[in-house]
Order: sequence, then C-alpha cells, then structure tokens
Amino acid sequence: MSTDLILLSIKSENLYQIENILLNKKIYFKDLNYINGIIYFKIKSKDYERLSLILKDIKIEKHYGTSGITHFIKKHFILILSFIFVYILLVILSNVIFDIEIVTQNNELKRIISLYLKDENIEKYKFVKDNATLDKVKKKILEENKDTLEWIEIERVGTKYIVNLTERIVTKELDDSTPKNIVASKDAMIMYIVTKKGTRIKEMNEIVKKGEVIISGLIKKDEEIVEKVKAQGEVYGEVWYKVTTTVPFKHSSYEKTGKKITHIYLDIFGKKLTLMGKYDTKNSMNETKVLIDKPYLFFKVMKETKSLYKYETHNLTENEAYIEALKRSERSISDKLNEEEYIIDKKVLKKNIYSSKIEIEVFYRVYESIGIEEDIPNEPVETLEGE
Amino acid sequence: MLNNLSCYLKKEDYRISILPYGVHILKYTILLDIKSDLALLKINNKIVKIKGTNIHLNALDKEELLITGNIRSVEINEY
Repeated sequence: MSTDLILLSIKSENLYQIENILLNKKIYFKDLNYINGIIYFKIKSKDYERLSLILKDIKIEKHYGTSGITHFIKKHFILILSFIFVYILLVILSNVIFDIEIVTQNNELKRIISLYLKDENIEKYKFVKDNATLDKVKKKILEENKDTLEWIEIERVGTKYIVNLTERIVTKELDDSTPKNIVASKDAMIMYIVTKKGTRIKEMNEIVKKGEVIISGLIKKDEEIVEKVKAQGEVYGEVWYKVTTTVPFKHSSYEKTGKKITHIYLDIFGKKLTLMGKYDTKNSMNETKVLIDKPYLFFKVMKETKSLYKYETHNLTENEAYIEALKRSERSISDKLNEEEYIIDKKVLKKNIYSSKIEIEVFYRVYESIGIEEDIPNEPVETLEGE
Repeated sequence: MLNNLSCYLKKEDYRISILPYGVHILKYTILLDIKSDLALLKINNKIVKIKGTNIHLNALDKEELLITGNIRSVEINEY
C-alpha cells in the first residue's frame, strides 16, 4: 500500500457493512478498528472521492505521506507564507548596513576614508560586503595612503561597520645640536661623574636638589658666556627612597591548570546557542574566533577556547607576610633599575601589624643615574671679537 | 516485511500466517464472505475457512489481507 494515505472515521455500529462496502468497491484499506462506536480505517487518498459518494457521513481525521504534506501546506498556507516572508525580510535587513562609524579624531582622514568607502559601494542602506571585498578595500586604502595610515580594520558589528584606524606618525629627527644642560632628575648625592662636553658645575660627594644643573651647556670665559653646547656626560648618585608596602595575611591567586575547553556555538543576534562543549566557569580566560560568518546567514558559528585557571586562597603567617612584604618592597625598587644601578643599603623603619595585614616602611639607598638633559634658558651669548 | 518479500521472491503460491492476534494471508484470490464468526476466502483452487469470534477484516490489499479477532480454526479444503 502506498504512503499517500488518509485516516477516516465513520460513526457506525455495523463493522461488517463497512467491510463489505470496501470489499465490493475494491477499496483497499488497512488498520481498521472499532473504538467506542466509531470505525477508523486508512485508505489511499485517491479512493476517498469514490467512498464519500457511498458513505455520506465519513470524516477525514488525518493525512499521511505526500497528501499529508499537501494538506498541511493548504491548511497553513498564510502562516507558512508569512514565515517565509519574515525570514527573507530578516535576512535582507540583517545584511543591510545602517551605520558606518570611522573611529578617528582626524576629520580630514575621516573624509578621505568615507570617500574610499563610497567608491567601493560601502554606504548606509547598502548590502554588506563579503570579507574578500573588505580585505581588498582595506589593502587599497592602505596602499594609497601609505604616508598617513599605519593600519586599518573594517569590523562589522550587527548592521554597523566600524572602521578602526591608526595614523602613521612621522617622527622628525630631532636636532641633536640644541644646547642643553644636564640636570639632576632627583635629590641625590653625586657618586660618579664624567663630563664629555660642557662645564662641570657639581663635584663628587656633593648633594644636589632635583632640577639643579650638574653639567652646564654654557661655555664661559671670564664669567662671560662664549658658547652654548649640548652638555654630555654621565652622572650617578645615591638616591633615597621610602617605600611603604602592605601585605594581607589572606590573599587569593589564580594559577593556570593547563586545561582547555572548546565551546562551539551559534551566535544568533547576540544570543548563544551551544552546539558542543558548553562549560560554565568564572575561572577561565576566553578566546573567541569566528568560524563561519556569511552575509546570507542570520547566524555566525563561533569557537570559544577557555583556558581554565585554578583559584586558590592563601593564608600567611606573620613572618611569611613580613618576608613577602620585604620582597615586594625591594621588587618595587629593583624593577626600575638597569644593569649599572643597584641598591646600596636598606633599613626597615616601621613594621605595623594589624588584624588582617602587615604594613612595613623601608628606607633604601640606591645607586642610580640622575643626569637628564634640559633645555638651556634663553640668555644672550656674547662672542669675543678677535679670537 | 522480509517474510512477505521472500514469499514474492520464492514465487510461492500463497502463504497463510497464524499470528497471536489474527491470520495474515498473502496471494489470496478472492474474499468470499466475512461475518463475526467466519471468514471465507478462495486461494487458487482451495477454499480457506477461518472460524472464531469477533472476526473482522483489519487490512485489505490486492494480494494481502489481515483478519483479526479470536481465531479458533483455519481450514483449507481443496475442491
């Protein structure tokens, strides 16, 4: 028997009368059942017309196979049509650009970029472009604006294009011959001084205040300035610091577990629909990648890689907290020093212990470079005639 | 279904299968009569009598039919 069937029902007490009608008319049937005074049976849909002429009060209960599909479509035609229409409308609307934002303060550059985009038909109320076209546009803009643009990215966020760009900053070589002094960058005692050019003002073991000239760019003869040069030299001094550090007795740390979880999901207008690997945790670093993003699809396929972290709480004893505070205090100084610089000496000035933390104040004597260049204030230069 | 298929493939004349809920017949010639206590059918030159209570026809096709009810006996007579 074909699958193009219909389930019929008829109110009748005489099962055999129905069977005989079906037999006589050679209407093949199946699943004939009698339930609560109603006879149910299935026949081919093409036989229905013939049977309905004989049995007037016969009723169709259900359609099966292709006849079922046809019947369903006929019955819900308006609904199906509206669904298709709404879907098409949604796909069209989600692929139209409603806004373009060029992220830069430079109005001239903004104007130039928008002209390029217009040329390539990337405009408001136009269809979105595929990635290959966008790449081509970016390459073209970059190539034709080598001098002004460093980098450009056109990102699609929903129905909006965001153009991020970095301007090229052309650094002009500084005039190396500008007259300068070497001054103290901080209060210190001079421990090492070498003058390569200029006039030495301060000597070894002399205490200098921040901003005081150590090597002057002014060349003097008999108290009169004869030349202005760029002072050159190296100055190291003993600098003093007071560092206050606090360490709580109880603190938390995050440690990488090495475990990674791949979560693949559909992004439907910002809503996540997991396909595989859903794992909810707050202790992870997430990296998201787009796997499929086509303009004709209303969703994106995304891959999220979660690197798991272990969250631990540490309880320190008073002594451990004190050692930790010392380490942190010293690190805060040594991180700023280069290979030539070092800590001469240190001394703990204060150690305060509270219920939840320890606080220490440490005094440091540090050997470090203190000479920095500074422009010479404008003063008239008197040239000696006849020299 | 596989049994039915093997019947066609082996070119058997007919097949009568007695099932817990009725009788299944393949390649019948004609169904002569059906009542609540008797179903009478012809297969080639044989008359098949199915006796019982509450007998009725559950499915009917060109070469296949299924009779259900409380089957008491199936008689095959050659004439």
